[in-house]
Amino acid sequence: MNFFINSWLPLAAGVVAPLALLMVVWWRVAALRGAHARQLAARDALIAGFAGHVSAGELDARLTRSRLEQEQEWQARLDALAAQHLQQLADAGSTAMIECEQTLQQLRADYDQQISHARASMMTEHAALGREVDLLLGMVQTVERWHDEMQAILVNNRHIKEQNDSFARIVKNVVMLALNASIEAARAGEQGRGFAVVADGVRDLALTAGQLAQDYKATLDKNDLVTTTTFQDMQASGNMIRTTVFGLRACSDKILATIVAERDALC
Amino acid sequence: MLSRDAIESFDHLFEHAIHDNSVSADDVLTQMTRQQERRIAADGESRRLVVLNISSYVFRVVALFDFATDEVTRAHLAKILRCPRSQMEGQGLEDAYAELVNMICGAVHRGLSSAFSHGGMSTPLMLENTCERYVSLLNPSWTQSYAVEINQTVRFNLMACVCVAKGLTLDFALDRSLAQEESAGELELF
Repeated sequence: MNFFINSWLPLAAGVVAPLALLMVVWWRVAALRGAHARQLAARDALIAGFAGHVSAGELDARLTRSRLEQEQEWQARLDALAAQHLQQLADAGSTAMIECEQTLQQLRADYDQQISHARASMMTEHAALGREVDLLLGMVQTVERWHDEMQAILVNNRHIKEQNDSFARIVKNVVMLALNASIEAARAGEQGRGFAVVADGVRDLALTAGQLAQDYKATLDKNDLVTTTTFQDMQASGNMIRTTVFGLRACSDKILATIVAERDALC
Repeated sequence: MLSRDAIESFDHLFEHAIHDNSVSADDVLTQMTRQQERRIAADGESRRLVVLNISSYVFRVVALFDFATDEVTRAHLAKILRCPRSQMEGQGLEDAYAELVNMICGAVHRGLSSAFSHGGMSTPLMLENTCERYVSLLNPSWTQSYAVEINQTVRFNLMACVCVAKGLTLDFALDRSLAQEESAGELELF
């Protein structure tokens, strides 16, 4: 028995094991072949399905449709993005507009305030200028005062001249008297000699006085000419200044008109 | 001191002012001579001296007019001023002298205004004619005398003296065509 076992067992093992292995391999191969056959069948069915139902044109159409659908999808996305961006842009623009408007309003308010301040300042300065111009025009009264004083000087000079003329006439008469006295002294002869000396002395004095009266008249003439022309220079210069001040007032009035017109245009 | 142009301008202004204002339409200015020296009327001679001043910032013009008081002069004044002859006595005659002087000097003043924007004119004043002997006291930079004769009967003299500020040279040239146009039609205000 043992021998049987010992002799057949390895033999059996040597036959059964490879047989079993072969069986396993065969089963495995069969399984793979079945799977492969199913895949082939599925492929064939797919091929048959494709071959039976999808033409090349339809395939192109499907591909085109697929592309179109994809394009439409992307376009939709792009449109959505564009719309989103446009909205954002519009929002940003609107915000910027509001901020800009606010800034402009602020600037305008500041500008109006500055203009108003400057206008008020100019009006004040203009009023002050007007007062100064009016005061300057008062110099007409000064020139009139000079004129009155000048007339007084001229009248006084004329009076002095008349007095001098009277003096000159008196001196002339004294000369005549002295001459007559000399004649009378000569008639009196020896007794009149002393009187003749006196008469000659009086005549010499009268002639000297006459020369003095002439010199005095010349001085008065010089005084008249210089005084009169000096006064006239002052009077003419006063007129020149007055004309200039009138010109200043006209300029000042133009400035005021410009300020008022600019203010009215803004209101 | 005056430049040659300035002297010629003043001379031109006075010549035209005399010509335009001292004669009426039917009068003839028979003679106007320039004299460096002129005869001063003797004491007692019946003449009137009328003085007027034109001033600017840097110079002044003193114009001395020497008028006769005779009948022909009075008649001429009445004619050019369009006044009755009977008014040419006393104050009326003095006013007539002053008016003629104003007219002549006013024309000179207007002519100067094209070169000097600021200037003024005085009122005329009467002086004794012997005062004219002492014009040198005014230190004139330039003097020119004009002896004017109208219709060979009316005669008057004008001495123009230009006094310039010390150390300055007065130099200007008038646009004579413009001065000519401006010599008419303006009122002179005092």
